[in-house]
Amino acid sequence: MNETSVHELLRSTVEGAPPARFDLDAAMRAGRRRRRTRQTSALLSTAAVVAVVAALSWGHLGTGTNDPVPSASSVGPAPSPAFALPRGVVATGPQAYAVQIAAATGRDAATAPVVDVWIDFQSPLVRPLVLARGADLDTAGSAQVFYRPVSFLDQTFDGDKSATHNPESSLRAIAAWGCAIDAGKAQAYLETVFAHQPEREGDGFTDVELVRFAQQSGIGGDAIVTFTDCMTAGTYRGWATAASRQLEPSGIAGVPSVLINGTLVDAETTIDPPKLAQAIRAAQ
Amino acid sequence: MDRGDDEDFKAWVVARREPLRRSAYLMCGDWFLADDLVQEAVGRVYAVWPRVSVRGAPDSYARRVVVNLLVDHRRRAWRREVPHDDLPDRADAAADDTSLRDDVLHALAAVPAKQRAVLVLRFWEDLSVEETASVMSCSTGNVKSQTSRGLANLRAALAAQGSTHLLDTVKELS
Repeated sequence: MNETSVHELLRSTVEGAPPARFDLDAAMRAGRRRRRTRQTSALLSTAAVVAVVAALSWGHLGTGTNDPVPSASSVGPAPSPAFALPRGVVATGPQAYAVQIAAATGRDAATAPVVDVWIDFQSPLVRPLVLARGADLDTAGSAQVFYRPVSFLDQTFDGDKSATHNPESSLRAIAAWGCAIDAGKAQAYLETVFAHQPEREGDGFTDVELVRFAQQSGIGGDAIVTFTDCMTAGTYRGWATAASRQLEPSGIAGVPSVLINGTLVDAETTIDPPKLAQAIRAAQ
Repeated sequence: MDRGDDEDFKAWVVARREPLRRSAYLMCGDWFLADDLVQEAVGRVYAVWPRVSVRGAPDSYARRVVVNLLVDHRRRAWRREVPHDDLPDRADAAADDTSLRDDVLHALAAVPAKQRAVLVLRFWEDLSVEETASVMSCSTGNVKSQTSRGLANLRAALAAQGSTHLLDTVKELS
């Protein structure tokens, strides 16, 4: 077998090629992103420390506009993670890496039930739970509600080779949510993403969609620039990963899972918002 | 990156995208995956364009990305059947051509990924042993041994599937 004959054999296989799928703009965008990520990672250690300090001070000062201000007690001792945390999120304690969506107020605050809600942005089963909050799960300052984002559905869907699939959609959505939390739009962004889940489960979200969700959540002006920079720099990917890793040691089987004062709510109640709201009230 | 760089990059893409795609296909046996690999490789070349845009280097870099994704990371290469259904209708596509292509594709699928990549780089892209070693990030000795083992495996696969007419042609030529 000499070189010419091998060349001829190989030639026979590439004839009749289907039309190429190729997107130059997308390739250049990906290239720019890679370039930025490299530049960012060079500064990462310094930036992470600065961002953690900033996140903690914001948490204490409570400069948020829309979101419940985390109580001082929920901000633990200075953590030392190697990644940035969104405003109000802590790295230690029982609520490590969780996002507080509702705070208990008034004189019953100390005894208010703690509700943990485990979510994955790609799960259609979680959607009714998240979107029902306004109607039936509005705890009206009578419960401490923590959302715990995880990305395990990425492992399920990222084997998908279809052209409409977007890899790491859960992880990227969590990281983008972190940027929205900094913009004071934790609840609005959460609801917007769930309201716009793809028709086909597993298609996930493009980065463009994740930015559009921010605009739809009321993030505009300078804030949308900050949001986009935060997202493209992957500022909260570390947090998203760490938050997702909480799933396994927690013993939680999947999403949606709800715990009231540490006790797992049965599946039937979990997917029935009025019932769930009743269970939370009963715990008060 | 200035506009001139972008123009150079786009010109390179126009000239080199299709050859890169064909090589990727020969290495993985799947046009869909080949398109993905090219998309990824072109993006990565753009990320380092100012550094690699000296003559010849972008090709080498792009090939390395494709090979690394396929061989090192063991992407799911050759996991599909030979894509009969994807072929466009062509008046000149004689039945003999189709069966020849199928025979060769099946035989190539039996060659381990790294050896197959070496065969494609050396005999399809006509790279020298040294150039191939640079793309594969291995020694020239390794390229030589991978080449001879790859050829032996290809021959054995052709024989095993009864494509003796190809073996005969090859023997006459060599």
